[in-house]
Order: sequence, then structure tokens, then C-alpha cells
Amino acid sequence: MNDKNFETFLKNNTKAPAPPHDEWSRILAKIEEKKGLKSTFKNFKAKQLMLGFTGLAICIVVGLNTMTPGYILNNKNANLKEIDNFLIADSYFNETDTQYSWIEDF
Amino acid sequence: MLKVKKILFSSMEVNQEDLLPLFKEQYIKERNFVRSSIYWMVNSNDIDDLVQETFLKAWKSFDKFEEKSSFRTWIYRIAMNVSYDYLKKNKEEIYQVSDDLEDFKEANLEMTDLISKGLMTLSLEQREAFTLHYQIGLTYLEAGELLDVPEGTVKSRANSAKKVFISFLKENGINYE
Repeated sequence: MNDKNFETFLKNNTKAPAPPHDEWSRILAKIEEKKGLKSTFKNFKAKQLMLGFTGLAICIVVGLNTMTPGYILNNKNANLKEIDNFLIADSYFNETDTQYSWIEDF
Repeated sequence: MLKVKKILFSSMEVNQEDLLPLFKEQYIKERNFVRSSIYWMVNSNDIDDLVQETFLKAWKSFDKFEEKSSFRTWIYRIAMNVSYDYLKKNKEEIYQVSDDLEDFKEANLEMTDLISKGLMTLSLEQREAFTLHYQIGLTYLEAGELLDVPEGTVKSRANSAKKVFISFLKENGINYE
């Protein structure tokens, strides 16, 4: 069978189903739907980004304040002062009285 | 007509929505071609969804379409990707269709069904060439441009497909000559 006859045979016996009459409207609706989702996502994304940046900024400020040498020095001095106070306090001597009472024997 | 798109884009900032009338124009021009191409590849009742998916994908990147090829070539590639994905996902169902062929005579199926089933016995490459040339009526050269292969390759694929297809029809008792 030559090509022409073969094509005619196929044409006479085959046909793709007709498109729905509202095909374009459906496509358009999907486009609109996706556009809506996209803009919602964009807004959501912008809000999330803003929150993220604010959180990050807070973390950085707090982090810098606690990690600076000044803060560490102040903290160290405060600890030393606490030890001083403890050693000077009466309770230290009182509490050790019984423990070291043998000293008086000398 | 798509040159208008170039002008629109080169002039100033343009929303993709501004391209919608141009896209619709291309849709009207190519919808039947796209529908037939997909239908003869997948032979499925999901054709409406697949056509829709093809045009939605095309729209998504329509602003990036650079006219290096024609709109038809471009959308054909998208349509075939959609079809291939569909065939992968529905592999079992498609094989089942081929298995049903044994019952062809008993079921007294129409010639259209037999032809559809015959197409499914061809390899994807053969089916593409066969459909474009024999069913849609493109020349080997035109089909070659769409498939991005030389004219001779399309001719060879289409001819081998024709042989397989004819022997399939004969096996099922159809002598159309």
C-alpha cells in the first residue's frame, strides 16, 4: 500500500476526541489560580523573611553583648567579689570553728 | 506575531499577564495539533488534562520562550514531555491495553480502537514519527524539525513503524488493501 492510501485509511478510521468547548476558560482559570497562589506565597515569604531577619538581628545583638571582653571581665570581677565576700563573711569563720577547734589548743 | 512579544519585552518592564493575548493566539493556532500529538502518543481518556497541563507548562515559561525555534516545535516538546511522564506513571495500565488485544475479535472492537492499540505496540520513537507523518500529515522534513532529527531518520522510523503497524493489523485479521 502506498503512503497516500495508508494516510487516507488512517484518516478515515481515526480521530482524536474533540476538545471541550470551554478548554481555554479552564486553562485561564488554572493560570489565575496559580497566579493567586504565587502572590500569596510571595506575601507569605516576605513576612517570613522579615520575621526571620528581626529574629536574627535580636540574636546577633544579644550574642555580641554577652560575648564582648567587657562583659566577660565584668562577669569575672563579679565572681571574684563573690568569693571575697564569702571569705570575709562571719559565717565562714563560724562554720569552720568546730572543724578547726584544735587550733585553739596550741 | 510573536515578534510583538520581543518588542513588548525590549521596551520596558512588562508583566507576564500582558502576554496572555499572544499566548491565547498561539493556543488557538496549535491546540488541535497539540491534542492530536498527545492523543496518538498516549491513547488515553485523560487527554483533556494532558492538553491542559501542556499549555499551563508552556504558559509558565512563555516569557522565557526566545523564538530560537517555532512556537509549534517548542510546545510539541512540552507536549511530548507531558506524554512521556504520563506513560511512565501509567505503565501498567498501558501494558494491560496491549494484553487485551487477544480479545479483539471477540469484543468486536471498532477499527479506531484497533488502530489505537496498534499504535501502542510501536516504540515511542516510531510512534512519534508515525503520528507526525501519517496521522497529522507533516512532511518528513517538518517532522524532523519537530523531533530535532534529520529528515532521513524520520523517514526510516516512520517506515519501520508502518511495517510493524501493518503486520499488527494483519495479525488481527484486517486487510485494508
